[in-house]
Amino acid sequence: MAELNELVEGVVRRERARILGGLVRLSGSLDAAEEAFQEATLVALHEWKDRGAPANPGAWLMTVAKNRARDQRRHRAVADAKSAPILEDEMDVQKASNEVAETIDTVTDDYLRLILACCHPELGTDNQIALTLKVVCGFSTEEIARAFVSSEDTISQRVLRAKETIEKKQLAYALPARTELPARVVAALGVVYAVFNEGHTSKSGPLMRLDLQAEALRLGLLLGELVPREPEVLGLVAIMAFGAARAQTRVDEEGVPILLSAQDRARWNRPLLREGLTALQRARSLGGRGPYVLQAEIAACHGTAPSWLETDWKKILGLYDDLFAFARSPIVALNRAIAISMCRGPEAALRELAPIEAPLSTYHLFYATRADFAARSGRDARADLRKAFELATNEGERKLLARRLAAS
Amino acid sequence: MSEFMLIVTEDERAHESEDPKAMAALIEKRAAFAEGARQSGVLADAGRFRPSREGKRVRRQGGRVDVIDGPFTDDGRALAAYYYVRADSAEAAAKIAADCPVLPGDDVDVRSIMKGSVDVDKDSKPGKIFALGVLGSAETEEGWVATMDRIDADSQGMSPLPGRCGGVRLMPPKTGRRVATDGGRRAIFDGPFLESKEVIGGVMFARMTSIEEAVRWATDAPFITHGALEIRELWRS
Repeated sequence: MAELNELVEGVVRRERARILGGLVRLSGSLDAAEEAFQEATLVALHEWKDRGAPANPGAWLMTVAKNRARDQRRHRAVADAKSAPILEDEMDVQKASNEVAETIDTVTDDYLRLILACCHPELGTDNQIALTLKVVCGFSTEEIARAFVSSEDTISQRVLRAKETIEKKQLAYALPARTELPARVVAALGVVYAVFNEGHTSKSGPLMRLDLQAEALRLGLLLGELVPREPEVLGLVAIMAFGAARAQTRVDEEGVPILLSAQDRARWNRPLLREGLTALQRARSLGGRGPYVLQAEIAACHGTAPSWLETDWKKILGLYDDLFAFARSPIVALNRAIAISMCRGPEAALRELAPIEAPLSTYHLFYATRADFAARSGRDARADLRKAFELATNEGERKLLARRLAAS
Repeated sequence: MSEFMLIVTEDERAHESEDPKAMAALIEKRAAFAEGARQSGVLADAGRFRPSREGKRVRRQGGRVDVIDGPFTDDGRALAAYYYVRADSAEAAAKIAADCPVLPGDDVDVRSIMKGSVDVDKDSKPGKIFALGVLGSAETEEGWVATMDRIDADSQGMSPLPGRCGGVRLMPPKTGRRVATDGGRRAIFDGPFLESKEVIGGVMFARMTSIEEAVRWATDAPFITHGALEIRELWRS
């Protein structure tokens, strides 16, 4: 029985998004699709116990779930009959139009439709993330709550609200038009990147959540398959692969972060570095030079540098200049200032920070960075370190700042 | 003008343990090589295989179908890439192959295409793209050719490969060339090169959602009785 549960769980995790995508096409509703899928899973547990698992469990689950979805539609049609009578004929026509033969193109369309619905710009970032993790990745509400240090209630609410918006505005039905696709994909990239970043540096608790990182990378690779030749997708895949390659060297035994300048580069994961470099090369070949590709170029400079000091800081500064032209964000300006400190010295970098203090006045890394520049130019860094310590929420980062404070 | 497949065999372990800077340089050099070959009109298509540990081999022995997980060799060597080129002769194709950036110890085999073609546009369509390499093992060239002929005959009636995006059958290795790299030197040898246990006789391409789908199709293929099918995903990124 335990074995069977494990088998079903594995199939469900692997095939979930693919099957749900097909069900959404069939039923036009995310809720109905999830319900049909849920029922099919129960049937599987029941039937496989008696007869053993079929040779192709994924296809089996898909067929049963589709039949359920069809039954639901019929029931709904009957229930709706009072307000809008549906003729048998009409239903058959509808049914035929929904029953596209399953080819690689319908399956990938289904997948994309599902992801884009969950990442729809109208949902708001928090709801997008919760819904994507729940529906596409198959995380439980509890797992999402744990990952985002939130209550299960909050997460359920987010998922519910997102689903209501999708139902009300019928966002799950159609794939966006070709012309609209790039913008929608970029919105989805934002969601994937947010998941990755939460995994990379959590707001609280341990510094990293490797499961979130892995899931985000998987989603990025999947988007790369679904929307091939979109350099920004490849750029994001590269950023995440480079980040994941360093994961094992980013914290010490006490969970305190090790800064990039002090990481043991020999332990960076080579296959992941290669994944990143390959994605980036393809993005370049496709002529990509958007914000994600530029960030990937920066990450590649770090990923291939033999040491912090031997990093190509001039190239990095140029890349930050380009990135800043896209997004005049204070965070980009802060990172650019680090490159300036390495190219032109800490005094020059300190001058760059003055105009961005106001927008970053609640960001601990602003003060941690300014403390570093100050210390390097022989000034007193303690006030900034204290401020950074007060603002930091992640335990590990607080420990690191406390250490720096004690040493200053 | 004839068509050739340049087939690269690499030591995966050497590639994966490379210093990141060298790794990046090789990837850039390879992209420049492909871009140059494309612009001069000799290169129609190219692809790199994801690591062999992610691949599968399917073969039938006796009444049993075996699905073997990669890697498939003990020495780290594995199929790594292909280049689909047009050239006047095997010598001319070997010249192109000699410029292909590889590491010492890697081989680039030049194989004439007997029939078929590759859908060079497959890259722009969604899904995972797999290369399905038909491998035959035999002591002699004649034995190998007979195996490939049988595979060809047996695969005539079988169900079409879903998501197929082309496929080629290759001429026997004796008509081919091998560009071997030893230290910094490159040397070109004439075929046959049957010393490796399995020699590729053809390759098909298919767009699918997962490797399991490819394995399922292969499991029903009658021809794997005579050889093996190596299924490898192409890098999308």
